[in-house]
Amino acid sequence: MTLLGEFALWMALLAGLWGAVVGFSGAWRTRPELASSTIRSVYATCAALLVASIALWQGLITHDFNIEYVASYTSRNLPDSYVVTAFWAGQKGSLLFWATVLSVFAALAQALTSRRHKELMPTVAAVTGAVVVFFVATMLFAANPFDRLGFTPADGNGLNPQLQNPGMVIHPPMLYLGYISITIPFAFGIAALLSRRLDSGWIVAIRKWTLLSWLFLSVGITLGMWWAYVELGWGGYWAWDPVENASLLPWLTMTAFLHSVMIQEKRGMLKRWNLGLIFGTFMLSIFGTFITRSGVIASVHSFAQSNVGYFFLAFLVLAGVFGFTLLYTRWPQLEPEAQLESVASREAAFLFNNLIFVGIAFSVLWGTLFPILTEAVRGVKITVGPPFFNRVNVPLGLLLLALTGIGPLIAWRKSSLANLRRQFIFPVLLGLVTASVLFGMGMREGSAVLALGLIGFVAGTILQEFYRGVRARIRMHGESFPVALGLLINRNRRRYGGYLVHAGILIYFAAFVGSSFKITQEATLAPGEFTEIRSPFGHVYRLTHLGVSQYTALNRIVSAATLQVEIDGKAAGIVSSEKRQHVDSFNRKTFEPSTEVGIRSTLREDLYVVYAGSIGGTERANYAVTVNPLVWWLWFGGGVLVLGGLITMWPGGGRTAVRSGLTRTQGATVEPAVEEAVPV
Amino acid sequence: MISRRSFFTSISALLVGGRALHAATQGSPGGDPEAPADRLSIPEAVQSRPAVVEGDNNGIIQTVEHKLKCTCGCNLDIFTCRTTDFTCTVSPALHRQVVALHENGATPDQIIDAFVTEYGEEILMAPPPEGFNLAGYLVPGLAITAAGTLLAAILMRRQAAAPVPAPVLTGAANVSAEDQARLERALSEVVD
Amino acid sequence: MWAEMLAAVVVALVMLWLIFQPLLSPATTAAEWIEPEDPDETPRGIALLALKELDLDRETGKLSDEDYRMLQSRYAAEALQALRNEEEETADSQIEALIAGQRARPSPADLPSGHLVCPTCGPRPEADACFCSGCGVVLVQDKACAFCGTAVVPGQKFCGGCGNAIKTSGAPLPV
Repeated sequence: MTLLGEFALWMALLAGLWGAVVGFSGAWRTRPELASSTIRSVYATCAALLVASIALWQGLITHDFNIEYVASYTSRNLPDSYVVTAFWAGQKGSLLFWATVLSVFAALAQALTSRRHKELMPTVAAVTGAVVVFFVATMLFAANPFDRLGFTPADGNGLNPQLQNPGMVIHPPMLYLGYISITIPFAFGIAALLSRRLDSGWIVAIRKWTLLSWLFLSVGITLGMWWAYVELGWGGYWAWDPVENASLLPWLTMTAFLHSVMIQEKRGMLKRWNLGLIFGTFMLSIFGTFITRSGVIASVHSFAQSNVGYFFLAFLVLAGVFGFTLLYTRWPQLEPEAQLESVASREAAFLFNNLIFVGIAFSVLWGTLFPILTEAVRGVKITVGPPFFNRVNVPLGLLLLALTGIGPLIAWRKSSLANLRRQFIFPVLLGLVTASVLFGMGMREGSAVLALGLIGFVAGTILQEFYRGVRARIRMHGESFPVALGLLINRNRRRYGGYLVHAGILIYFAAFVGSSFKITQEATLAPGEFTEIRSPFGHVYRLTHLGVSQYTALNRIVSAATLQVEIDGKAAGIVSSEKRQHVDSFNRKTFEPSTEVGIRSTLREDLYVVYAGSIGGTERANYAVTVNPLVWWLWFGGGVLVLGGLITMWPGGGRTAVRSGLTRTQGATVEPAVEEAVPV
Repeated sequence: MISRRSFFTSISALLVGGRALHAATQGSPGGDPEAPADRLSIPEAVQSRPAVVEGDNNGIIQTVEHKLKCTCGCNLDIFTCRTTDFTCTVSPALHRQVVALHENGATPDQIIDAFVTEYGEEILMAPPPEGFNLAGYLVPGLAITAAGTLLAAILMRRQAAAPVPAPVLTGAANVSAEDQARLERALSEVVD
Repeated sequence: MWAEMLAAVVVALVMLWLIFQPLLSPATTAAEWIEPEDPDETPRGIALLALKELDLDRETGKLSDEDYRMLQSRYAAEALQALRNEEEETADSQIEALIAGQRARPSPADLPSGHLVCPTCGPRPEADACFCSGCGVVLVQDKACAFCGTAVVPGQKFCGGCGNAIKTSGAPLPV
C-alpha cells in the first residue's frame, strides 16, 4: 500500500498548502466560503494522513520487507505489539506519526473551539496547516517512510531490544502528544496577533490546550523516566541527557505559562510575556526534535539520526522569526491593563516563579548547548554530565520548591504583615519540625535535610489551603466535612487541582532526594553463594544466587539469573534479572545481549538487580545490585500529578450558567414581536 | 504466527533438549569433560565478564569513577558505563586503571589529575570551574540573579511611586440600588 | 494494485469535495461548532466567579477586610459592566434577528406576479389558494370596498371608510 500511502502524503501536502496559503492571505475575511474551505482543509489533511498511517501499518503488519522502513525496524518473529508500535520506532515513522497526530489535534481544535473564537479559526488552520506541510515535506523530500528497497529481504533487521519494552509502547507517543499539541496554543497565539483581536478571549482557548499539552508532556516525561529505569539498567531515571533535557525544556516554559496566565486572566497583565512563553515553548519542542534527530549532541536516547535535523533547525529559525516579529509589531496593542502594586503580592510571587522556571529552562539549555559552545570557543568538546547539572540546578530547584509553598499563601494585590503571619505559621512550623526530626534521626546531608524541610513546608501549605477552604465552606454553607471537601474541589477545580499537581511535584522531589541515597554494589556469585547489601534505612539484604536458567522465547534466548532475597534474615521472595539474546527467524543472533532488570519494589525502596554477565560461560554470575530509596513514590507522584491536571482541566464547571432567564433572555430564539402588513 | 512460534520453539527445544540428553548420558553437564561443572547450556547468549574483585565495591573508587567519563562515546561516566553497558570494553579498562592508581596509594584528586594529564579535560564529567568553564557554571545563576534584582527594583520603585490608594469604597459608592440588585441576582444564580 | 489506485482516487475525490464544496455553493454556512460557549469563561462568568472566590479568600483569612472591599468593588464594577454589555448584546441580537427575519422573508418582488400575499405570513407559494396555508386567514378579496371605494388590505373584514363588510371574490391579488 506504499502507493496509496505516498499519494496520501502528497494530498496532505497540497491540502495543507491550500489551508496555509488561503488562511494566511486573509482573503477569507470578506469571503465566508473561503474561511469554510480553509477549515475544511484541516479535516482533509487529517483524513489523508490517517490513510497514510493505515498504509504504513498495513506494511508493518503484513511484514512487507520490501518497504525499507519495515525491514529496518521489524522482523518476522517480533512480538505483534512491537510490530504495531514499530510505527514510531524509527525516524521516518516518527515523522508520519507526528504529522498525523498534529493533524488530528488540528481537526479537534477546529471542531471543539467555542464559536466565540470563530474569527481566529481560519488563521489557526493556516498555522497548523503550515506545520503539517513542514513535516510532510520533510518526509517526502528527505525521509519517506514508504521508500521501497531494490530487493525484498527474507527477514527484517528487528527492533532494538531496548525498544522492546512496554514503556516504549506508550512513552514516545505520550511525549510526542505533548510536543505536538503545543502547536495548537502556538497557532492560537499567532491567530490572535494576526487578527489583532487581543482582548482576553483568546487566552482561554490557549490555556486549555496548553494544559492538555502540559499533561501529555508530564506523562511522557514520567514514562520516559520509568522506561530508562527499568530498561537502561543503571539504576537511575534521570541523567541530564540531552534528549531528556529537551523534553524538560518545553515543560518548564509551559509550566511558567500556566502560572503567569492567571495574572493575565485576573489582572490583564503580562500579555506579551505570555505570548512569548507560548512561542518559546513551541520553539523548544521543535528544538527537542532537532536534538533527538540530528545527533549534534550525543545521547543515549537517539535511536534515529540523520540530516533531517537540519530541516528542523531551519524550521525552528523560521517559526521563531515569524512569531517574534509578529509579537513585536503588535506590541502597543498588548499594553498591560493594570500595574503591580506590591512586592508582597501573589502577582509578584508569580513573577518570581516565572523567573525561576525560565531561569531553570535557560540553565538546562545552557548546559545542553555548552559542549557546542566550548567547541566553538576553545576547540574542545567539554562534557557536562550530571554533576554539572546537579550543581547548577539543584539550588534553583530548591528555590522553586520554596516558592511553591510561598505563592499560594499570598493574596492578590497586597498582603499585610498580620495576614502573612497568619498564613505562614503552620507551614513553616511543619517544615522546621520535618527538618529537625530528620536531623535527629541522624540525617546529616545538608541539602537533603533542607530539601525535605522545604517539602514539609510546602506540604503544610497545601494541607492548610485544603483545611481552611473546607472550614470556610462549612461556615458559609453549613456542609458536612466530606461534602465540603468534594464541593470545594469541584467548585474551584483550577485552584485545588493545581494544589494536587503541587502535591505530585512534591512527591517527585521527595523521590529525587531519596535517590541521592542510592547504594550500588557488585558481586560475583556461584550458585548457593550470597552477598549482603545494607539499605540506607539500616536493614540488610542477603541475596543468595540460585542459578541461571536458559530458555527460548519467541524471538530471543533468555538467560535468567535468580537471587533469593532475605531482609534481616526474613525470606522476602526472589528477584530475577535476564540477559536476552535476540535472534532472527533463522536463529541468527541480532544485536548484542540486552539486560532485563529485576526489581523488587516497596514503598520504602527498590531492590534493583542487574545480571551483568557470566564468568567464563558458567553459572557463576556477576551482579550489580542497587538499593534505591523512594523510587516507587516517583510513579505515585506522577499519578497524583495527572489526577490534579485532570481535575484542573475537567470541562463543564458551568457555575455561572444562566438558569432562571431573569438576567438574560436568549436573543436567538426571540420571535419578532411586531409584524407589519405587507403593502398590497 | 502460532505456527512460526511453535516451529521455532520446537527447534530450540530440540537444541536444548538434545544437549540435556547428551549431558545426561555423559554424566557431565555441557558434555565437555574439561568444562566446569556449572557451564551454561548456551554460554554465548550471555556476555562473559571478569569476576568482581575487592576494589570494585570500594566507595572511593566509585566516587572517582562517577567523575570521569568513559571514552567509548557513550557519554556516561566510567562507573555507570561499566555497570550498564556490558558490551563496552573501554570502561573496564579505565576502571582497572583507576583501581591500579588507588592501590598505588593515590588520593582521589591525584587519580583525577592523572586522568586529566593522560586524556585531557574531556575526561571529566563536569568541567573544572576555571577559565571559560566558569561561564558554564555562573552564567545561569548570574542571569537569574540579575533578572531577579532588576525585577525587584522595578517593583519596589513602582510601589514607592504608586499614589496613596484611593478610598476603597469609591467604586462601591457609585453602584446604584438597581445595579446592586442586579448584581446580587446574578450572584445568587452562581452555583456555590 | 487496482484496488490501491481506486482507493487513492476515492481519497483524492473525498478531499477535493471537502475543501472545494464550500466554494461551489457559497451559501453554505461555516462548519458547526461542537463546543458551546462555557458560561464561566465569558466576562460575566469570570467576574462573578472572581467575586465568589473573593468571599472564599476572605473566609480562609487570605484577604484583609480592606483589600476585600477594594477588590470586591472592582470586580463588582466589572461584573456589572459585563452584565450591561451582555444585555446590550442581547438587545442588539434581538434587533438583528428581527432585521434578519425580515430580510429572510422573500420580498413580494421576488415572486412572479399573481401570487397571493398573507398579511401575517408574507407571499404564499400557492397561486390559487383561498386561505393562507400558514395561518388560515382569507387571502382572496376585493381590492376596494364595494360601497364607498376605499382601498382595503387582505384580511380586513370591514371597510375602514364606511363600515360595510368586505366581500371576498375569486380573483388573485396582483402584487
